[in-house]
Amino acid sequence: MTPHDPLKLFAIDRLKGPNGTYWFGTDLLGRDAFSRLIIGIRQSMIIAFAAVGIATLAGTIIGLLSAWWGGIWDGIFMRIMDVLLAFPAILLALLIIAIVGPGTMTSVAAIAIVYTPIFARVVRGPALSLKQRDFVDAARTFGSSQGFILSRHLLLNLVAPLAVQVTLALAWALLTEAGLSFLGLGTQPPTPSLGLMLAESRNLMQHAPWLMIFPALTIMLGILGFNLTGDALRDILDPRTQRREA
Amino acid sequence: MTRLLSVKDLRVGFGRDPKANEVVKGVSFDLDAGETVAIVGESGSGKSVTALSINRLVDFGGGRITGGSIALTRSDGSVLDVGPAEERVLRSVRGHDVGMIFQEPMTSLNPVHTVGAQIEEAFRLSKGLTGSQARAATLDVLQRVRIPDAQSRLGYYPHQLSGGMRQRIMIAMALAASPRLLIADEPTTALDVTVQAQIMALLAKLRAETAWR
Repeated sequence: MTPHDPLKLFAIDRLKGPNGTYWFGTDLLGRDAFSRLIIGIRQSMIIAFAAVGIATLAGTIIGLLSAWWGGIWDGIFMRIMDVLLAFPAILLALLIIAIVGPGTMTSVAAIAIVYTPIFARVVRGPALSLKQRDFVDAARTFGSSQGFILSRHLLLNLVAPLAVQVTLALAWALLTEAGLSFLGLGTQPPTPSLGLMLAESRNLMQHAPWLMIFPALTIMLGILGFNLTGDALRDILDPRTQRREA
Repeated sequence: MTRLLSVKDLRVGFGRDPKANEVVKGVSFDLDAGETVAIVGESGSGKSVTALSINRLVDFGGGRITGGSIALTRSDGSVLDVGPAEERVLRSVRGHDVGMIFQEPMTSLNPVHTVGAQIEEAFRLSKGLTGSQARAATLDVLQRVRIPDAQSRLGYYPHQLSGGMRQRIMIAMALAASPRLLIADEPTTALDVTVQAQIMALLAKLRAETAWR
């Protein structure tokens, strides 16, 4: 996948600017920045997708059951979510990593915990209104079980808001992962990651600006891409916009 | 004629103290097979709550039967007292013995499934039909509720159909279980006058055809 080994040191080619051999230049230790960027994107994406996947699953289950059961369970679940939401995302992630120790799996878990409450809220609101709709009563008149109504009638109606939320959360997760790695608490060296590359380039900003520009641009494009996907998905999945066109 | 349903002195309340907040206070009526009973009253008088109590759907809206009895004759001939029945038994009652049509056909169909899929689902839940059997039964029931060009309508979503069509789909779904009793909770309120007449005529025809056995 990569033109050079991202961990290999080319000692005579240290701090070379972008050229034909090293497309995005080399860093202080003479490692190819382009190869490191590719592996860094993979690392950041794996963490972002895994964390958002777990957060989506956990948040959807919590939100759905809160809305469905109501009463005291709704109170307990949502107050826990409120406590988690009260902390700034990066601070809560830092707290979790400070307790468990840095690493890829910890980053995934920390980011997943940080974004679970957002999914729980996104699901609970519409689920509360959907559960009052006549088609849920209609499903009951055919003898549908609770699990069937939850999965087929409620969950499928939540796909549109969830899909949009997933793309937005991927953008935040990418940024949070970069932030954690920048602070030295996410991906550990020598494995490259976008945040880590930014941190390493910080002191060389004036001598080798390419080391900072390319990872920063990649993060920006990644977030922009996820956001644009979210916007497009919302337009496609919202039946109201479809009906206007029809 | 067989007695299908016998409601005696039915009382239904809501809230933490249902006895203090009774909405239905002592309603009694009987219904024989093949018969139609219309419950008439001003809004808020408890018509819908009475109807929802017969298959205990009122439970899900926070209501409780506080007194009286609802004796329902099931398809196997046994008589069930609906008031104290367990949820498991009630699910089977709802699936097989009592069908229901709601006021607002737009909200009683799930917007994310095609009408064909929703009717097939009703057949699967009530009669265990799957695949081509369910599709054939769906097509048949759509023709019974006089939906023109039934085959192509199977792939339509609820928002692509008119109010009258949607209500016919609801009736088709209720018919899927071949219920002995069909509760229609103001089935024509949301429709315009000519369509109201069509739906009422359709229900009368279907009653004559099936006698709702």
